[in-house]
Amino acid sequence: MVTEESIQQFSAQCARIFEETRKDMIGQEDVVRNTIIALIAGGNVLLEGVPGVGKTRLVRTLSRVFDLPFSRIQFTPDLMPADVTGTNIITKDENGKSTFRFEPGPIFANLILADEINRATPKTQSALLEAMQEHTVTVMGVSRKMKEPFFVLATQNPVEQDGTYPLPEAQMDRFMFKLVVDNPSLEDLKGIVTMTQKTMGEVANAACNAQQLLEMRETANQIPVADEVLDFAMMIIAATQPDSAHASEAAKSYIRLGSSPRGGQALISAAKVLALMNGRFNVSYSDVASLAFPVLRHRLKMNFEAIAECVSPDSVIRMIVEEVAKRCKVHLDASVFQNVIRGESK
Amino acid sequence: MGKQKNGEKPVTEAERLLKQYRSRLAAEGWIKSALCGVSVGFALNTIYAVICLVFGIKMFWVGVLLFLLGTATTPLMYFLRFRNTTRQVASRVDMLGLEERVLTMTQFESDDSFMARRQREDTVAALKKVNASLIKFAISVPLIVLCVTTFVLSATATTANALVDKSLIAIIDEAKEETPASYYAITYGVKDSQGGRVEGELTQTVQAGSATTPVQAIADDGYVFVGWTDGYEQAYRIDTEVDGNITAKAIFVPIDENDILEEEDDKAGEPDSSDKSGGGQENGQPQPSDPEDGDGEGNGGGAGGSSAPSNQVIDGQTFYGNEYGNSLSDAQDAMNAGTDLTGGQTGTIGDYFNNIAK
Repeated sequence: MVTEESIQQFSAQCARIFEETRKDMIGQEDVVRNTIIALIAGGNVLLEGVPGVGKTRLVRTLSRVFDLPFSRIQFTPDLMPADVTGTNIITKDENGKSTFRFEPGPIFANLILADEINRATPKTQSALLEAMQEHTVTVMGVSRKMKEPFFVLATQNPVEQDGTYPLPEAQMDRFMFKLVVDNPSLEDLKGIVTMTQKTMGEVANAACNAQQLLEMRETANQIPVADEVLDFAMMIIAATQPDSAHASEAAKSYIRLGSSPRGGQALISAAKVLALMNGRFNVSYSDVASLAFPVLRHRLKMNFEAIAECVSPDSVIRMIVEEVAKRCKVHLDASVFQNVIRGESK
Repeated sequence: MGKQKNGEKPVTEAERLLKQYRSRLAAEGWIKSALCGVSVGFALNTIYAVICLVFGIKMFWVGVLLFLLGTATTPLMYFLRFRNTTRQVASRVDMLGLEERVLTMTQFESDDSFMARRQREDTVAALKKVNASLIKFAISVPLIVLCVTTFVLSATATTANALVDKSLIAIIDEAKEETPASYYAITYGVKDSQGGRVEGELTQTVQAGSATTPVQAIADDGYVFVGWTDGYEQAYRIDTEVDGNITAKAIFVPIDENDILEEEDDKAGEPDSSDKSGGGQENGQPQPSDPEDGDGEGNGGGAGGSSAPSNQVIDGQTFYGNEYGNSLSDAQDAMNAGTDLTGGQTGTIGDYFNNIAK
């Protein structure tokens, strides 16, 4: 049950989480903020960025801050599904009788870092599907429930595409956010270098535990959403689907496949967390609009025209959001798009 | 929380705060409704005025009634179209930077969960920071354009209708009908068909304001031309700046020898006689008065055998009166005095000698 205490706890813990994370992460405020939003909302995150921009460090830091058991799986082409999920091995009991015993794989942790996920084969990638969505793992016909909270934070490199396997749509859809980790600014770069000259060690302390994280999620989930705001969010989702009656002009021009309903769920869940983080007890249009970018950018399958004209998913999302805002007579402040433009995927 | 009257729902602080915004937006709604209502009135009036124009109806009071009827739809417009619902008011208030707080509050006002209550408190706190005067009236441009357009149409149609009714347009039409025809019929002829002829185009059609083709009245032997039936005196006739149909006949009169002889007798006795008897007198043609003009007699005698006074019948057919004699006398006086001849004198003398040359 949500009480005043849980709200205060949410605010206090959020403040602590950001504070501790900043000890190990310099810059990338939007990426850090959105990753924390996804973790509180219970979503998986796909981090995309060139090597060395701090993707893996961010995940490690968050595992420390949230005090969650952490597993790292380095995805390679020869990684097998059993290497991820675990497998049954034959063991002998005290009587010498052979029995199968399930040896859990690294996926049985609260926080999974799927590093360079696109380097594994689709078969191995798909081993994550069930875990990411249903939070269960089925091996040899036996389903095993994951420990809660369970998150997958995957990273992928947008360059060096040789020998990689792009994630299938089904898998992409299971990530709540796709966050683009840009190169740090000059100021941040200076800070990073200065910090790592002193120590490479990570100094962030735990700001909350698994139980508190679940409580935060429960608190955020209670945030009311006005019908008009919900309509606006759902209209954005529908507008991404080129065959929909509500399709936007941008979607008709540049999108082959739009967002699934899962995108709508992610958008509202994340918007609730963002609202509470901002000290509000309701979701606003701007919450929805600003989160539309990380929620939708990996859910849109661009068509040939978009690729030929080098139209990025983020610019299409911006067109869609603006069109829907006009349609719903919603005034959006230009600052809603400010951070997104900076973090626009290439 | 606010006050509570007996049996009434308590007025929450949020409702009290929202009331000021609601009344401000109600004013906006009424303005929009009035614009719409007046537009309907003007539109009805326009339609009626057009009907009046087409069918010639003259009951203008019906137009005024229709306008008032249209304008009376204002309250209807307000309650059916422009009255802001609570959600609309909330949405407008949220535009002041309240980030959909009021909108959410109004939707969850009956929700008694902790989060909904907390949300209401948060909204009330936010509402206290803003002011109703910050909400600006938003009256759509299309509505204003619609009102102005219908007004212009209505005014135009009504004015046209009024002009028709006051017969102003009819007067203009009549004036158009009275406008002179573009062409006039000109007919020349000879009175009683005797005594001479008219040479030239006897029947002409001439455009208004222009001149006729010249005609010449020529007397037969024993006759003299004395003028036209319409008072024109010259035998050679051009009518300039024609502004109506013309029918003119040349008048020829026979030359009476007795009258001439009597006149000669009178002249012999009274050289300066102003006796007007004789053919020339009858036709108002002055008699020659210069007794020194001896050539005139000779010419007159030879003119078609007529006994007209000297210098009166130059070409043997036409009587010219004393015009030349007088001009000659004037010319001689001028030469004696050493002054120049006037243009008229020069012209007359020229004509005189030209006629002699014929």
